[in-house]
Amino acid sequence: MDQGHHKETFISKWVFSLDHKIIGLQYMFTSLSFLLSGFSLMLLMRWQLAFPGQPIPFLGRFLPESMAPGGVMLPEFYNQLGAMHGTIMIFLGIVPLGVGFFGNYFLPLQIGARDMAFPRLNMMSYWIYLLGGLVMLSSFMMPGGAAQSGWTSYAPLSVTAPAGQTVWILAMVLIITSSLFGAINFIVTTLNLRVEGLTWSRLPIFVWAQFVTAILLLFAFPVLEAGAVLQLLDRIAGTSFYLPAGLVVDGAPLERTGGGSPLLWQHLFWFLAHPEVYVLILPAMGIVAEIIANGTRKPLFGYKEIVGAMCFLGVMSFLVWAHHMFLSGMKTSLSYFFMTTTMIISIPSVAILTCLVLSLKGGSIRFTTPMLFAIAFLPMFGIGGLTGLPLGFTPTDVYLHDTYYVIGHFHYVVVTGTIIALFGGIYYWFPKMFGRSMNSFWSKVHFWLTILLMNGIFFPMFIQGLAGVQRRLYDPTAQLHNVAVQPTNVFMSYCAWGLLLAQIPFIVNFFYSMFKGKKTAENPWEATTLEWACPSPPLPHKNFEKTPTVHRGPYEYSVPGHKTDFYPQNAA
Amino acid sequence: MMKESSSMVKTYLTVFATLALLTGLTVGVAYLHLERTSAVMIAIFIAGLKASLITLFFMHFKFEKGIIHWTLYTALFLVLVLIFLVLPDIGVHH
Repeated sequence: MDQGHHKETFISKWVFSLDHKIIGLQYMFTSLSFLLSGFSLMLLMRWQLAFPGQPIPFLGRFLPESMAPGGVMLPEFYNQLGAMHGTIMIFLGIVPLGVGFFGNYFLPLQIGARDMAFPRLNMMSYWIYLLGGLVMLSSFMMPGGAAQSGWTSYAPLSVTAPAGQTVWILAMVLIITSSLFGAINFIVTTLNLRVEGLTWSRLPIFVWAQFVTAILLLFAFPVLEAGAVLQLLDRIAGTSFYLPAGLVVDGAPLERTGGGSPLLWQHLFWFLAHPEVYVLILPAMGIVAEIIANGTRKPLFGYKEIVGAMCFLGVMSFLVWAHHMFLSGMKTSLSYFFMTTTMIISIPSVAILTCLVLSLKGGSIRFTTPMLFAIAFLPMFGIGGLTGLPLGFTPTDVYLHDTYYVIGHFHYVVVTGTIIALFGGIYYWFPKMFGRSMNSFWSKVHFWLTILLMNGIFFPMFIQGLAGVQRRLYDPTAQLHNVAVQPTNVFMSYCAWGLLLAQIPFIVNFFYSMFKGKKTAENPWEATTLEWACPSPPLPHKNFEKTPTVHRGPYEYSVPGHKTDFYPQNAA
Repeated sequence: MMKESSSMVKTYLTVFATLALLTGLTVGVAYLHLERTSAVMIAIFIAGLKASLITLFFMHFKFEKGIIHWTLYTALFLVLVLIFLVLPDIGVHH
C-alpha cells in the first residue's frame, strides 16, 4: 500500500492514519495515558491503605459523596479503584504499549516491510481499543460506580454487582476484539512480509517475541470474550451460566434458576489470563534482548535456545491456568497436573533469563540509559519469577494465596519487569521515532528514582504477605495480625507517591526531546537490525529508501576482521 | 465466473436450509422429553454439526488450506484441553 504520492490531510495523516508508525504512536500516547490514569487510581488506594479512614487531602474535596463523603473513601469506591486499576493497567496500558505500540512500530521495520499486512484492520484495531478504553473509564459515571469485583470479575459477585460491571464487560469485548485484529495482523505480517534473506533463523528476538505473543492472543482471548458474553447474559438476560442454585444475596434468595457454576468463569478467565501474563512479558523480553545485544557489543548468548524457549513457553502457557485456582477445592489429581505443568513452564522462563544474563559475560558493556533499564530487568524479573514458584505448589499456595505476597510477585513480574523493559525500549528507539535523542542525565535520574521507588513499593508486599495480610482489604488495620506490619503500608505509600514524581523527568524529557532534543544520526546506537537501516524517523508509508536485503543474522557484533564492531543485517 | 458464483449461491442456500432444518430438529428433540444426558448429547451433536457447516461453507474453511487449517486444529485442540481439564473440577463441585 503506497500512499506516498497522495496529498494527505491532517485527519488522514494523524487521526485516521493507515501508516503503522502513526498508529504505533497513537497506541503509545494512548496507552501511556491509560497507564498514568490506572497508576493514579492506585495512588488514591494507597492513601486509604496507609491512613485508613482519614480524609484524602486536597483531592478528597473534589470526590462526590457517592465515592468519598467528607473526603473519606467508601469501601465500595476502594473496590472500584482496585478493579479498575488492574483492568486499566493490564488491558489498556501494558499490553497496548508492549504489543500495540512496540509491535506496530518496530515489527514491520525489523522485517524490512513497508507496512503491516492489513493497514485498515490496523487502524480499526486502534480505534476499537480507544473506544473500549473510554467505555471502561466511563463506567465510573454509572449508578453504583465502576466495576468493583476485582480485575478478575469473579462470579457470582460480578453477576450481582451494580451496572458498572455491565460496562466493564462491554469494554472488555471491545478491547478483546481490538487485540484479535492486532494479533491476526502481526501473524500475517511476520509470515508474509519479511524481506529477501530474512529467514526464520535471522529474525530478531523482538520479532519472535511479538509473533509468539500474537499467537497467544489469537488463541486465548476468544475464550474470555465468549466467557464475558455469557456473564453479560447472566446479568441482563436472566441466564445462570455462573450462578449456582439457592444463591442468597443481601439476605434474600436470588430469583434465578441457578444450576450454573461460578468456577466455570474462573476457568474461562484464567484460560486467557495466564497466557496473558506471557503476553505481558514476552514483548518485554524481546526488547531487553535487542538492547542487551546492542549494549554488550556481542551476539546474544543462545539465540536458538531463546527462540525455542519462547515457543515452548507459548505452548505451555495454555496448560497452567488453574494454578490460580488451587483454593477452589479442585480435585487433587487435577491440582497435581497443574502443579506439574507450572513447574515445567518455569524452565523456559529461567532458560531465557539465563541466556540474557550470560549474554552480558565478556561484553564491552555501554552503560547507556536503555542498557541500564535492560540490566535492571534481569534481577527484577528474576525476583518476580522465583517468588512465583511457592505459588505454584499447592502446600505453600494455600497459605500465600490471596495475601499481599501474590500482589508483590505479580508486580515484580509486570512492573519492575515489563514496565522497566518498556521504558528501556522507549529510550532505545526514541531516536528512530523522532530523529532526536533524549537527555541522558534526566533519563538516568528517571531510571534510578523509578527502580528504587518501585522496589520500595513492592518488596514490603512479600513481608506483608508472609505475615498473613490479605489482599483487597479496605482497612488493613481491621485485623489485629496486620497491625504489626502497618508501618510498611505507610512506607509503601510514600514510595508510590514518590514514583509519580519520579515520572516527571521522563515526561518532560520525552516531550522536550521530541521537539528540541539533540538531532541524531540514522543509527546512533550502532545497531545491526533492519530498523536502523531506514531514515529517522522512517519515511511515511514506505519506511526505507530502498527495500533492504538481509545477508546475515540479527546480532553480528564484534565480528573478527570486520572494520567496525557491528555488522548490519543488510550490509553486503 | 458467473456460473461458479451461481453454483456457490446454490451451495449457500442449501447450507442455510440444512441449518434451519437442524434448528428445527433441536427444537423437536426437546419435545421428546428424553433423559437429561441423552438430550444434552443430542443437542451438542446437532450444534456441532451446525458449527461445522458454518465453518466449512460460510467461513470458507473448505476452500482454505495450510496454515488456516492448522489454526483451526490448534483451536479445536485447545477447546478439548479446556473441556477435559475443566469438567473434572466443575463435576466435583456438582
